[in-house]
Amino acid sequence: MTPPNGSPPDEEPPVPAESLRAYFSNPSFFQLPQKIRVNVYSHCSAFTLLMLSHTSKRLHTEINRHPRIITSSFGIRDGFQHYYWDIASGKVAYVYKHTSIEGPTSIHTAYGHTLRLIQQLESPLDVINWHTLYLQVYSTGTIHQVCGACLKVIPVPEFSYLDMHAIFPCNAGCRPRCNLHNTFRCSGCPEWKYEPPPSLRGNPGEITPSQRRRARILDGIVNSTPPVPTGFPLPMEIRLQVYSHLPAFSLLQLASSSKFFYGELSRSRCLTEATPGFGTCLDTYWESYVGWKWPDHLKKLKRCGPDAPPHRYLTILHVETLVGEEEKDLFQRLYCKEHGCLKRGGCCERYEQWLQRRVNSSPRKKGMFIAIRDPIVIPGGPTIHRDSDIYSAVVHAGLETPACSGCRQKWDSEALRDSIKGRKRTPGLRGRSEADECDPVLKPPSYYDSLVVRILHQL
Amino acid sequence: MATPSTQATVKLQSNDNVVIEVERAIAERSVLIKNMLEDCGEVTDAIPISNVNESILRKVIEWCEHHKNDPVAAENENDDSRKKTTDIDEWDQKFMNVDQEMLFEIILAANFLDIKPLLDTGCKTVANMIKGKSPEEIRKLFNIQNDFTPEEEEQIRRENEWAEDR
Repeated sequence: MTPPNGSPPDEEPPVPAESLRAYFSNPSFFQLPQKIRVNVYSHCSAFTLLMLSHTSKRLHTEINRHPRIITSSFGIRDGFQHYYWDIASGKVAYVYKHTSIEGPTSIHTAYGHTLRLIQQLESPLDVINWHTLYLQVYSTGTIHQVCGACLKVIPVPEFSYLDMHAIFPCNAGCRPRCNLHNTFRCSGCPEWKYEPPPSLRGNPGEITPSQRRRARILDGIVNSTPPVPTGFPLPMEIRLQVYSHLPAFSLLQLASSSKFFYGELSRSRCLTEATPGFGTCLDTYWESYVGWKWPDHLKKLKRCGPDAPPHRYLTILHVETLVGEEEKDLFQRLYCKEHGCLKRGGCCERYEQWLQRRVNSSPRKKGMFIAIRDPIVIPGGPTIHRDSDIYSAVVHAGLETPACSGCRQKWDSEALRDSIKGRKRTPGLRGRSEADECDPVLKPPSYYDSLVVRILHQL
Repeated sequence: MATPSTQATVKLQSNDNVVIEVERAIAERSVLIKNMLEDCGEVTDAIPISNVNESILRKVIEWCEHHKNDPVAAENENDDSRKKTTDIDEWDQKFMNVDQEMLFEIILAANFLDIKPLLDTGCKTVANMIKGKSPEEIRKLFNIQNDFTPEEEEQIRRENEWAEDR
């Protein structure tokens, strides 16, 4: 059959001369020998490699086939440690060792280079690509913003109780969390005005140097292999049985008695989690506020709490309930030395009522983020809760410090802030000694009620 | 498989070569001995209990005598209910009111002889000894050397200072 134009059927149409010129003047990347292509890759950042790998199947395969290309590139995540061959699929699987406050976890990022492996971008052009091509939300609750100065990818916790438009506004008004029309700065960049103390310095969600140091010390204890104490000559299987009879608070004391017990009890979380009295604390408590330009009314919100402890080991934060009178006595001895009772934790019925209301409007339920620790409960006894938690919440909510109902003086806001930052300074009344301090328990219930209402309203 | 034995007593030999004759029903509180008797049939020789000395063996036998009529716990009994409480029977409390060295030896003997209730009682006793004691008191109680470096100790203290009354 002759085609309508009359040319022979098996003859290919002539290639236009312009196309030929273009072809030879812009040779395919694959005309380069593989050795040179690999050399080119070695000069690419992780993000560029990602872009490159998305251009064609062949490039995707080539880049992902040699993990060193990716792992040695600029801007790859620090925690990214290893990869392995998945024999079944014949692909390289990437495992990102993520070390968070809760402990090291392995995140299987998928087969091949993904956006999750990128920690830093190389150029402003990359930033534009980042924002135009990719969603900024990886998983529920975390937004990944790029710092306009250092181009680091910063995971920013998303607070469900705050208005996203207010927190992540766009100057051009296009959409919340748009990072194209205004510039986000991380806390490490000089443009950031707020200078947190060294122990608190860091990006939101990142582990501060101080935390890292603390984690290193504790890891050192756990990973050490001290001999079994001669005074406790029981084999492991019996020791485990003994542990199973101990409540969390007693286990904590035992763990604090020697390296051996600390290590043994910390190595396996299931040992402690199964004990009576164990309860998880507010996991998000130690998250950071630093690193975002807050709306005016929330300017006082800075960083929450003192240095974050590594949660993976048993601490007082994991003790939810004291079991028995002896534990209660010990708790009083250890934690209420000066007062000899739990009154500063709130012993009165009204406080209990307030606490109940707080539990009903649990921060966990509402995704709130205030510095209130879960109470330690003594069955049949008063609920223990630190007053300074309320003070912390007051400061974090940016409220004016309340006046004491007894003496009508205002609480010393500086002391409150110091207290929150972990300094040894008792929140007290301005110009009054600790001994003269008004007893918070004597405050009328309306004091707490109004405070909580104001905090909740403000947040 | 040996034929079931009808002997009324069995002899147990401690590791210091003392032979103690006990009722078979009492000896059979030990799962180890019970299984051995079932497997071997009638045993005329003393059964060597190589890990237990005379005084501990007598203590263990004393416990078995007192508890010889107790119902035997089922194999698949849920352990959780057992672990929830550290309540100890009054007689057992008195029985366990011995020096620490002997307590540990009784626990080890119970473990060796596979006497679960006795082992459980021993573990509960140790747990009760630990309860309500500060780290320093626990160290003294069990003669545990404080091997934390000052830095480590400070770190652990800081981890747990949250509830301290400042």
